[in-house]
Amino acid sequence: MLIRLIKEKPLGTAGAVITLALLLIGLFANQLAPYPPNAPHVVDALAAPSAKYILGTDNLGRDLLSRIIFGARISVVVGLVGALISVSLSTILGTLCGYFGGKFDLLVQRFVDAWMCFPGMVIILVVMSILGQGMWQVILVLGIQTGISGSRVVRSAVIGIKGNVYLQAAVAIGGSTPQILAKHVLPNILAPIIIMFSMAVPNMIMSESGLSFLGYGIPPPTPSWGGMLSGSARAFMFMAPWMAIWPGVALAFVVYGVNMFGDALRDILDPRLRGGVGRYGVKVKKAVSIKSNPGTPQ
Amino acid sequence: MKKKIFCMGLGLLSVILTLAACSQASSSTAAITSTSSTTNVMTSATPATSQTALTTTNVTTSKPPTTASDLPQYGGTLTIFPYQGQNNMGQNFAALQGGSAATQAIMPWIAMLLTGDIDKYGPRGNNAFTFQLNQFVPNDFMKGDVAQSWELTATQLIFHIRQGVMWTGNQNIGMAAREFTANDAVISWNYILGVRQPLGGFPYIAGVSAPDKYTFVMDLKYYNSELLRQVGFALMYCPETIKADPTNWKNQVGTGPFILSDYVQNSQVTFVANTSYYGKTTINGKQYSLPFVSKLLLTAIPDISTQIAALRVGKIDMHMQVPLTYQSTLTSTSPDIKQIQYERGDSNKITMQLGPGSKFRDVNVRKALMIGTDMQAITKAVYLNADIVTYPYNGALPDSIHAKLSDLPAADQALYTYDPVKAQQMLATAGFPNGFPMTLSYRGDDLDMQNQAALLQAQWAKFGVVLTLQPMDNAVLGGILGAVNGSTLKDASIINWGNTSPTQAINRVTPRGTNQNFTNLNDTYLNKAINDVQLISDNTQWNKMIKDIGVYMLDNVTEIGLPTPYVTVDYWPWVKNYYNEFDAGQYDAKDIWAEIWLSQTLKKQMGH
Repeated sequence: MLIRLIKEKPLGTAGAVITLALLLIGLFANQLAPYPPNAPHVVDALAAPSAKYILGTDNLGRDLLSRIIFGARISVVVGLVGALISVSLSTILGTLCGYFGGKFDLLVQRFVDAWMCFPGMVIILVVMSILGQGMWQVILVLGIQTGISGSRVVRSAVIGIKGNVYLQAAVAIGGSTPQILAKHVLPNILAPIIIMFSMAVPNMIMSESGLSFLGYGIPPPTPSWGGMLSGSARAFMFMAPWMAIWPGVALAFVVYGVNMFGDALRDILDPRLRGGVGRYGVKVKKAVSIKSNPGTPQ
Repeated sequence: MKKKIFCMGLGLLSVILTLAACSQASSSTAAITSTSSTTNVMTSATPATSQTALTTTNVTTSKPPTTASDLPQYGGTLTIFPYQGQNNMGQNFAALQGGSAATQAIMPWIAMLLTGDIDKYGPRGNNAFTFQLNQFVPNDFMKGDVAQSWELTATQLIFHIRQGVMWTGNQNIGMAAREFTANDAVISWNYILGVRQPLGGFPYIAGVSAPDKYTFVMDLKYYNSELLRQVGFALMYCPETIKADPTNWKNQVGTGPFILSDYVQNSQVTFVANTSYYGKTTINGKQYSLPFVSKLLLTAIPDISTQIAALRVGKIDMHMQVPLTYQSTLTSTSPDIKQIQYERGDSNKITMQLGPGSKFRDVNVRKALMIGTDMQAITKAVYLNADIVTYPYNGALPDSIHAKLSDLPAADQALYTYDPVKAQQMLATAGFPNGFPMTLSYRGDDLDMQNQAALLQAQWAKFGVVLTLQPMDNAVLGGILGAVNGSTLKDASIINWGNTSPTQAINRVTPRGTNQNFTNLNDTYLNKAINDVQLISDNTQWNKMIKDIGVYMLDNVTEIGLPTPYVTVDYWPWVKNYYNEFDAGQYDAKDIWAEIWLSQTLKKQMGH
């Protein structure tokens, strides 16, 4: 799979590298950051990028590179754990609804319908104002909010495989429901779940940034990219534009990278796209060229 | 296609990096050379240079006009972004119920008994007082407004009403213009007392009466040093308005220099000149009727960047509160705009739990925290420039009331000298050799507080005080602080308080402060002092005692006062006859705005 990724999906590979870099930066933030992220050097406040402060400093004299590195850790934790909660919830709800169907499915899916009627940000803001600011609150809220609506995708996948003979066979030989779900249903809907996960990660990072930008996310002085974009960065935007530029660039890179990686994963893992007829059309062109010259001797 | 996407991405990155590199040109190190005086006029020296140099010169007073274009002119529309009240215009009229404090955004038509004497004592006069505080004018610097004069006896406050003052009338309530009489004052005050006295307001007033058409008498139960300000600056209601509904903007009638003509909630208030206004001013020996402008617009623009853009293109003639972060940009892009730097009326403070059982009851702990607070760092990092004003009063108060840092004993001055080593020693003496953990709450949506909390966390960690920061919703924090004299405050909180009235500043740390005594302090000396000072009728004695109480509060670090930020009033040069005042009473700028005239010639010459 890795070889296919590298050979057929160069943008996906670049995305994978960015994702891996994000993970490593988050993991080794303590070793990589030149300064503690919250240490103020007021004498050097609003310093432009230089050899001493590669990305400059903010109004409190905090090193922006260090804060962006530690911000990556927040993004990694929020992205991964949030996506995990979201996908787990989607999987549980979607699998149960799709497999059992009937009144249970009807009831749960009407609740999901109602949930999806509300704008996501409104629900998130209401819950955050009740729970208060904090990383785990953000993760929980985002995970649950997206997890419930995501159950639709999993449910569809389960319904798609429900009529297959191997499931009927499993029932016929006396397999229990948990066994069937674990051994026969889940493995066969793993591809969309993995894709959902890869898509959920950048969504979580973006949503966390949005919440922090609005003042409902990770409370300062904890460095988070969204938080770094708002607050002081807005107030000092004209005097020190680097305060807003660097977290924005980091955010753009990561979201772009994880999205590309997710797209590539989808293309590779989805059996219907197997063979590489993906969105970048590498093999599509070949197929078209063959079709357009049917009489050409091979 | 892949190559195109890749190239586009690379190009975008290059643009961003180039922008970031170029932005060094607008370096953060805008050198601001300023004195510690509260008012400075700044003119840009060399715009658009890598380091924007701002020089400051002291404001000059009453310059006689020198050219024809400097002669006062009538007419024109003056558009102002007021410093207060513009963001909650919807609440402004509701606040008129029962004479609660109104806001600058809706004051220009209102009648008042007294006002600050800006012509005589302000920067355009003998410069004895700045008139830059939004709730306080010393008794010495007041003059009659609707009242021509007043007498104070042991049991009565007698106002002699100015003859010929006219209510402007209002077709909406079927009222024609008519003269303001003492009987109107009686009806107005009975209305105010009916609403406010049950809530504890004006406890010293026994009753009001009008022995004749131009004499209004207020009977007093006892003297209170605040009464002249509280009574004199209270809003006077037209009886017809009271009858109709005083909270409806369409029913307003006043005697002030302007007439309220239109109101769009949270957008704009429009006033036209009151041609029957009694106010006059003398410029260069010639008397002029006020106001000069024919129309006054007070505008509300929520976003600060949009406000600055509106100022830059001349849509706003005058912005009353521009943060210093926009100073260098404005100086470089619009060098003609005049900027006057002044101390904001409010400042942040660290209020600590001083109730029974709290470790902060030990004054040495409080002093250690204050000495361990780097005020200079807060000044630079949070505000760019601020005044380290001695707690508890505002720096714009006269020296007779407010002790300057340089005039204080060395022990008090040392409280403002950052010394973490000394702070650690003091904590050790107080029984905390390794420091202690504590929680600091603040408003999560307040950027200044966020920055201050981050700095304090780093600064106090140096002597072992480990701060857990607790950003909170404003309403929740207000509930905690206001509950039963702050008894529910855990350790400490950053609060913002308008420290413009000295008695309010004292009241706040006594049980008299009711739900404003966030410290939960019950200090015998202060409790007695606040009672005593309000019984003093001699201004000199009052000033001295207020000053002494202030020094006592600083000595005892009842709170830690953080620096008071500077902001600027920015206005275009065609705004004439403005002398850097912005409040002549309680949120009252009508007299100041009435004196402004617009040089239409200059405005045209400047392309606007």
